[in-house]
Amino acid sequence: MRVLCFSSFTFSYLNRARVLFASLRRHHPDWHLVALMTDRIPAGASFDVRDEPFDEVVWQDELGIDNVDGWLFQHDIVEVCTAVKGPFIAQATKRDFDAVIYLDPDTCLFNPLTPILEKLETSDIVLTPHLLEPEEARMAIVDNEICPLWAGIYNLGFVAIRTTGEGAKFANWWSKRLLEFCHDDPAKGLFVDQKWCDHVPVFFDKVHILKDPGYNTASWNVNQRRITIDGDGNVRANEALLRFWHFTKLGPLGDTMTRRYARDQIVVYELWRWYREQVAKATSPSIPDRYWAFGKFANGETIQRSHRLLYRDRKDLQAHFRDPFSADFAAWLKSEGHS
Amino acid sequence: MGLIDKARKAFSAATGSRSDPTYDLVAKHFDIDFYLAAYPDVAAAGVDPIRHYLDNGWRENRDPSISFSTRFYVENNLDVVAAGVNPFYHFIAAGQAEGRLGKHQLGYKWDILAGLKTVAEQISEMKSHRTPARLSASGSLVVALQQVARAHERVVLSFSHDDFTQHVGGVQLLLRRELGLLKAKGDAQIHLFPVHPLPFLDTSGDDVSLGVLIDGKFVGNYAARDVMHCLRDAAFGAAQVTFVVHSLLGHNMDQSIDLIAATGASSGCVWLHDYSPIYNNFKLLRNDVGYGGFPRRGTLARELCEFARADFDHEAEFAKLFARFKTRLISPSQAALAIFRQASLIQPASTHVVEHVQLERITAAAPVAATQGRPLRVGFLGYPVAHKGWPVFEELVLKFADDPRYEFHHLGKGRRGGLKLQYAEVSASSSDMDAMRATVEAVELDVALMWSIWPETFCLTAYEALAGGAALVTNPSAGNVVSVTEASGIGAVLNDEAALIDAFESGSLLRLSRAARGASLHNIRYSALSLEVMD
Repeated sequence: MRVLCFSSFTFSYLNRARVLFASLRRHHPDWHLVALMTDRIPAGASFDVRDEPFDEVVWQDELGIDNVDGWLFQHDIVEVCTAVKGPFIAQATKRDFDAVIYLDPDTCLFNPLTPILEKLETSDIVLTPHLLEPEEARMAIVDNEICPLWAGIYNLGFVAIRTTGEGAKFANWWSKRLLEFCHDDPAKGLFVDQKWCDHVPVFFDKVHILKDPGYNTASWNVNQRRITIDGDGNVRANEALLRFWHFTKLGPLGDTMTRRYARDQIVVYELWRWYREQVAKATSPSIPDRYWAFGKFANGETIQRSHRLLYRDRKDLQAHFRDPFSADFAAWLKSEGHS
Repeated sequence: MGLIDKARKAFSAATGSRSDPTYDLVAKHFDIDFYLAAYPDVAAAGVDPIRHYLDNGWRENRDPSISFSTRFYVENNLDVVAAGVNPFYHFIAAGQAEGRLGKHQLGYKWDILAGLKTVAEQISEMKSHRTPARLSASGSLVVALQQVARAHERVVLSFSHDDFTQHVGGVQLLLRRELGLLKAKGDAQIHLFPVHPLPFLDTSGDDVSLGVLIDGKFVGNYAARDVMHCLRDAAFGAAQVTFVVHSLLGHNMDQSIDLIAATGASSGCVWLHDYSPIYNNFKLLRNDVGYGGFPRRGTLARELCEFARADFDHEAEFAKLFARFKTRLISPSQAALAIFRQASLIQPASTHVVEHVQLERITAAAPVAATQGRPLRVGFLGYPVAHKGWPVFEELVLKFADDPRYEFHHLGKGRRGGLKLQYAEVSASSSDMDAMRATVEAVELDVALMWSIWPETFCLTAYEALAGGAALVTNPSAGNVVSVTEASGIGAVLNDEAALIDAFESGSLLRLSRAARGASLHNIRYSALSLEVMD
């Protein structure tokens, strides 16, 4: 099966993405690996795909989005990095591949994803739920059962599709929705690209809900998975081989959630320790910390989320300020009291 | 009476209110015994431990009881720090009721992992604390070695990780015994040890400073290069020289090979007292916390292990030694040899199992009447360290000390405070080899908890416990302890800590009481160590 596998990120997540892509190369050397990047190369940094563990970079302005800067401005970094997944996956279905797989940049493979390809022989869409069983403790119900009720049942850190049939139909539908509604607005029933996929098992046929604990293991489900190292030196989640871990929120918040739910499962902390070291090794000192080319106006001032929401809501502003990153728009915001 | 005991006595009833409500509340929950045992400097100072904790101790991250971690509370409750309130006082007065934890519940392995540094950092930290050895001129060494060469037909060049005449421990005691056996045969022993200990081979290429013992007498400290020249100049021509490697931790492999070669020796043996010949972590523990089989190359277990990520590989280093000389491998147990065979590509000239001791049954069953109806006596033997399972024992004591079915004992060294158990100090020494066995017999211990988390190559205390009439309780990863338990049929191998807790809760372990099983006593017969193979 010819597979295109991609991840969507900015330069500040390049280190994590490098760890992911290195793991993909190791387990699937024949897959075509694409970095979908919504960013611009930082001044002073060198970036050449030939030095990277992926085969191709696709930038935000290669997705056929009308006035891409204006569209981009309407999103914060999480919204836009999830939004571009739609147009890219739709584009990828038209290329010469049998399957397209998306993985978040903060995931990492520990064993091959071959069983996914087997699933794609009979299914067109594969999704992984956040949670596989009901919780019992109240805090776990709040954190792990209620959270997906507003953020989405399936974790869109992973999705695999066939490029034809229901897979292609899903890609086109998702792309259209994400171009217009990839917003972090739970009160309106929206949570970026993820909440949309609650519709998928109904809207499309040949959907496989993968309930294997070896996939997409993360702090939000690790309390239901026993993580061990078997006699062959491989890592298992319950009885299954660990396929990929979702190292969500590298830092104090991630640590807190991991401790809360991994409790005394020492292998979980060994995995994290290893991951932290890999990310540190993959970090380029020439990329400024928390860098994002689209976080500031042309005059260097920081763009507030309120600026983005205003621009998103006001068609007149979109028409008038075709380039909302311009100093003009920044000046207008200031003059109107939107600092 | 030791200082700690004196201080404990003096302050055991320290309830002086001194119109200080913080003091009064903290005093109700403060564990003086724990504090004084954990911090002997406070005991030595003779100050009120509660006052010490309130004034200074908490700022120094000292803990007021076994169940409260000052550091953890401070790190996880920044509001308390900001308010400048004593963390333990806050926990008792408010935090506990608010659902805050006094200590993390991530298990003892989490603490080990959190404190684990990279191998390079560990080595550089240890080297930074070294004071340079005062090295002797090599003239006197040549003379001493020449005398050895002239006076003996057989000379044993042996290596270990420290000066066995000065330090107490399992391998050191074996070496003392081996020296005695060699002397009795009229053989000479030249023993080399690194002046600065290191839990790894020293692959830096620096000239290692070596201490030299001849027949157990300290000759001096020398640069390895000088020792090599002296060994060469001693001209052992007529004497037969053989080498015995008990440990090369802290030594440099290439230098050690040169040292052996300088004597003209062509054969010798390597002991598998630990796993340093095949893995960078000599206890074979992944990240110092887990053992689930040898971490083979290409496996995740190995990739995840900090020790495997070092820029050297013990197995490759030892392969040089085995390739250069006709080298036999001596394992103190079948269990350790099985791991070596399964794990390593090294091909020794021959392999041998020489168990350090064997048990000879002297009574079929001890009188049991006196032990009937009393609580099951469960003990931890030795120094309380994590890889021997002390934290697991401690958890059992905290959980079951008030359960009338059980009574807990610690036989060994390094008493820990704050635990409801009976402590008997037992030190191993060559003058009283029988001390541990005799204590097990004297306290009529029913069960020895041998919850090692590494695959023990040889666990002398397991034999001593059995010889003293105790049953063994262990886990499947404990190597030699498992084989001893299974071979003797006296004890139980439980799958994991959950199974251990279950066994205490259900009372299924009570079948291991002396009364229920009838205790057998054994004599301990010691082996001739390397001489069993050399001869």
